[in-house]
Amino acid sequence: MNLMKLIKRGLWSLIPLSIFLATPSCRDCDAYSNPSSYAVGAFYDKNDYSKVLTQDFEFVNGIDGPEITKMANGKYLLPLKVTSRETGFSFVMPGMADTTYISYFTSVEVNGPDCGAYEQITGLKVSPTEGGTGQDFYRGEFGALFDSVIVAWPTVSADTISENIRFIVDVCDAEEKSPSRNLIVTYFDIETGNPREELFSEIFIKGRENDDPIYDGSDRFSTIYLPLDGDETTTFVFRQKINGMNVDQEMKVVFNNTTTISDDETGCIFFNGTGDVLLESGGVTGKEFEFPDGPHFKKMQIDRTTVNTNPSFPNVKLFI
Amino acid sequence: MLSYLSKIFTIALFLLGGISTAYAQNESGELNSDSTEIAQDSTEIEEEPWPLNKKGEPKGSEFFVLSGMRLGTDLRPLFQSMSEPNMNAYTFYADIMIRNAFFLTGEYGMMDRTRENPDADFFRYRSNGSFYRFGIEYNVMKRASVANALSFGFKYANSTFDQSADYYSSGNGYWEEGATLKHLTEKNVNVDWYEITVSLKLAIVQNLTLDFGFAYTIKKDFPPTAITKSDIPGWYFNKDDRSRLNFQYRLLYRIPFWPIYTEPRQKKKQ
Repeated sequence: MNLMKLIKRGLWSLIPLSIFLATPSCRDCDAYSNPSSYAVGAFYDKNDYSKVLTQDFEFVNGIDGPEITKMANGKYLLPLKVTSRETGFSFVMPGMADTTYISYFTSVEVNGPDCGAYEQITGLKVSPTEGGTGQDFYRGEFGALFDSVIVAWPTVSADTISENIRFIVDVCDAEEKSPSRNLIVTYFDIETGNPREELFSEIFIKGRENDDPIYDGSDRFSTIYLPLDGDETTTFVFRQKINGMNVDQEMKVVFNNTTTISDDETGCIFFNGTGDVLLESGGVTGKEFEFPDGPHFKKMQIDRTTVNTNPSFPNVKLFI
Repeated sequence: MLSYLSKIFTIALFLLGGISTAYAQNESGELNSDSTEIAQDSTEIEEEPWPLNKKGEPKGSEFFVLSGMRLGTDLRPLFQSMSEPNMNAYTFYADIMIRNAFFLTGEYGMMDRTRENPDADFFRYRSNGSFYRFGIEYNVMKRASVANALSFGFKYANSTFDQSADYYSSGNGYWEEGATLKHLTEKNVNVDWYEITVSLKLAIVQNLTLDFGFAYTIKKDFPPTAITKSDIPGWYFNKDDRSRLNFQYRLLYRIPFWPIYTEPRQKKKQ
């Protein structure tokens, strides 16, 4: 009787153990779909975080790698080197470019015998310079393409929707600000190399000499603003009256009105700014032309290819 | 070898339980058939030949009265060692009973566990190390029973282990990095945690007690590691480094150095 009770007691005491032994088999086993070595990058307007910027880059690539194409959702899959702890990326817009370095480390996620283990890239950090200290956030320099770069989620997974890195662009508000279309031209003394004032009787756009001139010779200037006309080229005529005769010299500039530029005053970004400014003479485009015979300018030189508002950086230097 | 030893150890414990059973039967002539009877027999307690001091009080301080020492092991890792081919684990447990109210506990254990995918050769994880835990338990049945106990405790645990993994790296095609098998080892990973425990200690035969209960493990310091801490000695399976409920199932043998001292139950009103 006592032996039977002892056996019964022993069997009852095994119940908790059997519960435990059954329990481990219930543990979760994560799906094996997580491994990825592609971080998701997305671009946002600093003034509107509600939607991803759809602006097309001219070129996005891992540094020394081929071009990376944009996904249908407007985001980019940024391939991270598995054999390294840092990967750099280059983002090129027409007229502007920026670079970001993503640093990280890899860990081994163990899921159990049924799911195995996989390599996971985690601890994402960003830096504007190669080998720089990785940060969760960095602010770009004034006028840089990226206002800031933020690590939104530091672990890379196969998810192509949730971004790991957010690139913030301070897009200029079109209602408050528009890009400048005024070419900044400064006269220089060819002997001294210093700016000098000059008076022209008229400065006008070629073909519009019957319209009001841009300048009519009432004052002397060293720097003038010449409004660009058209989408690709504008030819300005500089006229002086010498001995009652009109003596003209033309300056033809070519440009691109869909260039990404940074506003001189605020640093915000215009995607439809004017850039790629070059001179054209005799059917040849270039940055510098010399005219030994003048009649007014001995040399024309492009100093800044983007049209902006800071007069300290003229687009064209005209040497007299 | 470790597996072999742990299995021998398990068998020895069961034999010890059987011997104790036989001994208990021979000594008393009749086995206490119901643990409740043991618990409620206060007359026996009052008649225990507890060594008294000159004042007629139990020896030791007024509070610190040793009532016994128990040795044992957690059956859970032993059963797992027997049932799983790539796991070898065992523990040594000891506690000191202060009166019948407080149990000062200490435990030391080892674990060597390998997880493999039998269908593929690209996964192997191994965790190998030791742990210790100590703490105190309070017996809320201190007056109701001398053989059984329901205790609540608080403990600290610390585990140090090595872990390694063979795993598959998919590489990145963009950078022309091909898929490779990799191996990673981490040495001397140290984690510690707290445990809030509740356990029921039931006498199955004289001096032999089953101690089963739960420990809510609260992680204290789980430093990040390159390999997921999948199996931690003492913590066992680790899921996402989250605090969890753990299970214990110990077999304890009380070394009867001293009789169990407990405060006499108040006499029932006539």
